[in-house]
Amino acid sequence: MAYKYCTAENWGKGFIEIGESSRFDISGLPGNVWRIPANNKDANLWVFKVAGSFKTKSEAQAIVDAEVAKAQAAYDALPEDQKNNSLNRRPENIVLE
Amino acid sequence: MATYKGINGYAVQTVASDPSPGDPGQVFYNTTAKTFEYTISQNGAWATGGNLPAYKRMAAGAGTQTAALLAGGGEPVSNASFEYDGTTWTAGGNLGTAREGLAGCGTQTVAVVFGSRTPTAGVLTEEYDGTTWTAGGNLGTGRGALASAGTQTTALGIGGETGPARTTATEEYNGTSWTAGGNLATATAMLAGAGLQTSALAFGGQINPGDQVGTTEEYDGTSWTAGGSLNTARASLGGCGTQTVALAAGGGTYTEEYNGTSWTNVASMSVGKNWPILVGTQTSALCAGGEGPTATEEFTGGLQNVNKTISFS
Repeated sequence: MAYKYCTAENWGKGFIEIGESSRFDISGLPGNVWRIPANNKDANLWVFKVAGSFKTKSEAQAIVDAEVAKAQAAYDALPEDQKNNSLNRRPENIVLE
Repeated sequence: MATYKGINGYAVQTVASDPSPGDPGQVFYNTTAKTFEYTISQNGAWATGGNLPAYKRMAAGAGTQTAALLAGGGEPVSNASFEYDGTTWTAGGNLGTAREGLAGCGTQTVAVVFGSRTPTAGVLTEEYDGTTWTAGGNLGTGRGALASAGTQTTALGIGGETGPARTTATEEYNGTSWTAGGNLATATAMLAGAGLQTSALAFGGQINPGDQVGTTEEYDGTSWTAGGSLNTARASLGGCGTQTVALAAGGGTYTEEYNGTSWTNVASMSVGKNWPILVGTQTSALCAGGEGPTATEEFTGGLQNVNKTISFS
């Protein structure tokens, strides 16, 4: 399936409603990036509702990469004993589809 | 070229407004929306709820989708609690001891939390009356990243970490003190629980660092026996519901339902969460906190036919 990307701030209740997630898939990514199906009218209407800003795949990838890099740097700065703590895992890179 | 009518024997219906979802597989064209749509049978859906005021992972949870409680958690390790009314989180009473990796059960106004992973594998129990936390009896085995089931006066503490080691220990609370129950078959931490003290469920978790499992065990008040395995082995998930009508969510975006025998994948969350709280029932649940964003998601279960918009590429 082809996807589109946008950025939008999740304000909480009402940001994604049952009627929306039932009709198309919405996936949240780091950096307030959201993945939705391409060429889907309901998905486009949702982006309009949430005042989202469409991003090309490469723009979205750059935003996600920057957020992941920040999280990786935070992990790398941890003392060794905390890195070995099973709660803390180095965030993995995310490659957009 | 093959046509839809040629393949199926009938043309795509044209409608001015969406019909009530009919049989799965039905395709139609909405002339008003100018969309091709089809009907599928889908189990459950998630929607966003009110965002938590702060980042909380490995907190304790209790209550329902519209009256939930989240207590403690990290990071940084906190003693704060928050109450949800179905729309908004507001501050509740502060725990006596700040901690992360604790477990909880009960309702928003009659809850109990116990154990901790950080700052230490702890024994402390605290009870909530909707306003104030007061000390309860200590766990016999200090531990964190454990699972829970039951109510404030009939709680169950399941597995967890006693430090670097995992434990099989199960303890039962009577509102005053903890006593040993039957041991899990396998020492497991970062697992989830559901149900009651005498009919509980424990599932998922980590048996060694990086070694995540999908096993399920069922408790009858005395001993644990094997249940059906999760479709996706994982740790740091949440659980709610009853022993035979349970919900697992988190440890990613995965959501699964248990029917007393086997787990079925249902609608995924929009945002993956590790170490969230999951409270409520299989058909009306709340997933909040966890590592990552402060987003809250609300699950509405049940098999239903829905119309989906077709994407063209």
